[in-house]
Amino acid sequence: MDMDRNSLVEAYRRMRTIREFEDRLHKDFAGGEIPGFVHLYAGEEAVAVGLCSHLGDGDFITSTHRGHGHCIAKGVDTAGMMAEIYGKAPGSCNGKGGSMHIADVDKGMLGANGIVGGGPPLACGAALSAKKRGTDNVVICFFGDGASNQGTTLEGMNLAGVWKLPVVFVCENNGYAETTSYKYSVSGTDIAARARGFGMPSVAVDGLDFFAVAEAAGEAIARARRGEGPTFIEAQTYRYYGHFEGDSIAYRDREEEESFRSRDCLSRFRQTVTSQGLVEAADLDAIDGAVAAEIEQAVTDALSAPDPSLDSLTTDVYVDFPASQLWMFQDEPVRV
Amino acid sequence: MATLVVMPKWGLSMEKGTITRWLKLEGDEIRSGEEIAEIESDKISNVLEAPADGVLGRIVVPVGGQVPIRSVIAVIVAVGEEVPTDIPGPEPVDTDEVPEAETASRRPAVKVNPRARRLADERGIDLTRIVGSGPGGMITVEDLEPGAAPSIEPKPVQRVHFYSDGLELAGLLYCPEGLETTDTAPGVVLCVGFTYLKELVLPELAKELAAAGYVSVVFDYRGFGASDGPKGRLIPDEQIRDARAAASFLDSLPFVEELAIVGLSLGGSHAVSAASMDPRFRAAVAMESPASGGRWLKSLRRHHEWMAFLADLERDRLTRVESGRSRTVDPTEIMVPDPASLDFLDAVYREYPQMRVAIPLESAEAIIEYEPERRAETGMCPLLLIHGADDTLVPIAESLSLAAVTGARLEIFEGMGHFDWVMPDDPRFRDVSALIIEFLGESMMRWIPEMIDTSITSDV
Repeated sequence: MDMDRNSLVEAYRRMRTIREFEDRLHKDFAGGEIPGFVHLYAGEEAVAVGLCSHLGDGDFITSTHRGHGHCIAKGVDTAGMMAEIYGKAPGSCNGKGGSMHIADVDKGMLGANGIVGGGPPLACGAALSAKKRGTDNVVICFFGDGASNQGTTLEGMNLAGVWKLPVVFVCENNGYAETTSYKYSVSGTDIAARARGFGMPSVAVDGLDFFAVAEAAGEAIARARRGEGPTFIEAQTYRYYGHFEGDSIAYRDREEEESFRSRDCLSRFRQTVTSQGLVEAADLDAIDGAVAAEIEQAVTDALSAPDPSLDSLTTDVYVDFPASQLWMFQDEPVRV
Repeated sequence: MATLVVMPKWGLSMEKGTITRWLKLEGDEIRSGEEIAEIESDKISNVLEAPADGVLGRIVVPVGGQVPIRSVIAVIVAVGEEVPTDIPGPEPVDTDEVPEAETASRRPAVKVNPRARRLADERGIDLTRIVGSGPGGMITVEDLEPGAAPSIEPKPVQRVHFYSDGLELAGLLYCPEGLETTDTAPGVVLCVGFTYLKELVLPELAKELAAAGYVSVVFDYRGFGASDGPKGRLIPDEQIRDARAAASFLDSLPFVEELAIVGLSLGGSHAVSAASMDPRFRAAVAMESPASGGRWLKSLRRHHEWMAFLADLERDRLTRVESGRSRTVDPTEIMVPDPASLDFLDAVYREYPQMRVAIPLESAEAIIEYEPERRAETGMCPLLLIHGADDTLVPIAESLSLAAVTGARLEIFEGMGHFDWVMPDDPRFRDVSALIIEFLGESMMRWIPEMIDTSITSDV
């Protein structure tokens, strides 16, 4: 596949940013300053970035409880994300959403989601709006192997197929639904095969290989933009940390972890682009340094940022424009 | 520069942790990310990674030590650096304090195995009252089986007794035909009204409920009928306690699961109050019930009568502190009936003379202060209100007010008064019974004997 140097550098920068962001949270969460719960995306970077490198701000994504990587891949500001995770006023959602609810509609990021299988219905809604408005925008629906068993996911796939919605369903199969292996909980174990039953093209790719993901993503997204309907991608990947921070990961053995870490998506990307002379190693090193500084600054700023004010307690709960305007994408005004 | 190693916060709810093992010794060189200690919380045991490179300069919390999250447990220093002298000591964990997580889930701090815990939750058994027979006094399933109390078998109707605040209360227990001890059916507490006895009116409803698969108990409040307690003393809060004791009695029966409470007139007020404070009730029904005791008693009087009544109560308050006794009056002097209601009550009194007990005026004071609709503001289980549009003893305004406060469903029966529908052969009694059964069915399990198919077993 063809990617220009700038695109490659940008893809690396985003993957590195995700890794740095998550490694830092892994270290800092145990310190007790972060309220709530975090689920880290480290290890899966090639999936989010491989998909989102084809998207613009007008395209949408839906996410999961493990959503930081999706946010960064879609271009959400890391300082706003870090402040959000720390529950501070300058956060992406004014500090009131936390890790599992980071959203940035201006960037087309429709929100991390605490509900397993919560994304597909939202993706179908966003895709329907894109279609009705006559745009060529697409929606990427990220979910996990656990959500592949949820009714909402299967219903969403059916609806997208029936209405030929511009959705790319991306199952990030990291092997474990929380602590349960997909080999135990997914009947048939071939998640990609399920999608073919809904009449959509479906492919399983090595989710640790950025180029494999990006190539499959390019085809699926182009197909969606042409109005030919949904595609399904099962990206076989791995998360380096536990399901949540504090998870002792008693359900995986260390050999398995090592074998996946030896195929680390960032190392492979670096290896590929430098050996083919596409990007200089020194340029990638510079990115590493800049990203580390960016995340350090984000943490410093988050720690010193103010909490949300008491006055804002009841804001951001409901939309504050008339319900009659909610259906702005509908041909006919809806009476409510 | 020294780096403080703190007790980590893992997961959503960890508040403190215990060091179960140090994997490094003081003086060991360590790298950031290296495993240095094993730590256990009440949900998680995991290894702690070093937050920095250096030397483990000091272990502040030894093995076995339990400290809150973010307390310093060790210090990492650079190679050759001295451990700072101002290292804070560990914050002690107050062991007397009930952990927040336990109060939040109302889990008593007793040793109990998980199966017994589940069973106790299902049956609403208070584990702090059970003596465990397992290892180390642990409560097991066997300890929860009713063995000490004489077991009650399901029968269509039987006399029962139970205790409320140490007073023995008399009740009638109604069970569906064919119910076995091993079955489970929903239970309903039935609360009679002002000075009423368990034998009046509500047994007819109990029979209807039994036919629909419900176990129900109707009882005499303390001081009335066959129950113990100071004769005729009617204090709403005490009657509510009696109703909740009746609920606990039903709960103790092996064949009862899930509870509802249904009351008539003032008993319905108690149903609302009990349900608003007692989360065991899945549904509540109040028929023709006062929502405010003061407003209700005032509505039965002209203004000058009300003023004279309040003056009587004021005098009685003084008498009580001087003599220790409250002046007793006829029940109709407190609840002043309209002429038709008085005729009806007179007929009942002739048939059940034991119902016409003298009531102390302190009861009137307690009723005036009784505000079920205020109590219901805190929220409660689904509530059904039933009222006759022509009720002259408890104005329909009472149910309207309660409905406004609670948002409960209110069914108004046109042309129906307070007493004129309660005969079992009256079609409106049938309608009311059917309505209650339909309403309870929306919130509770049902026991339907035909549906039990023992040939199907599942071991999934």
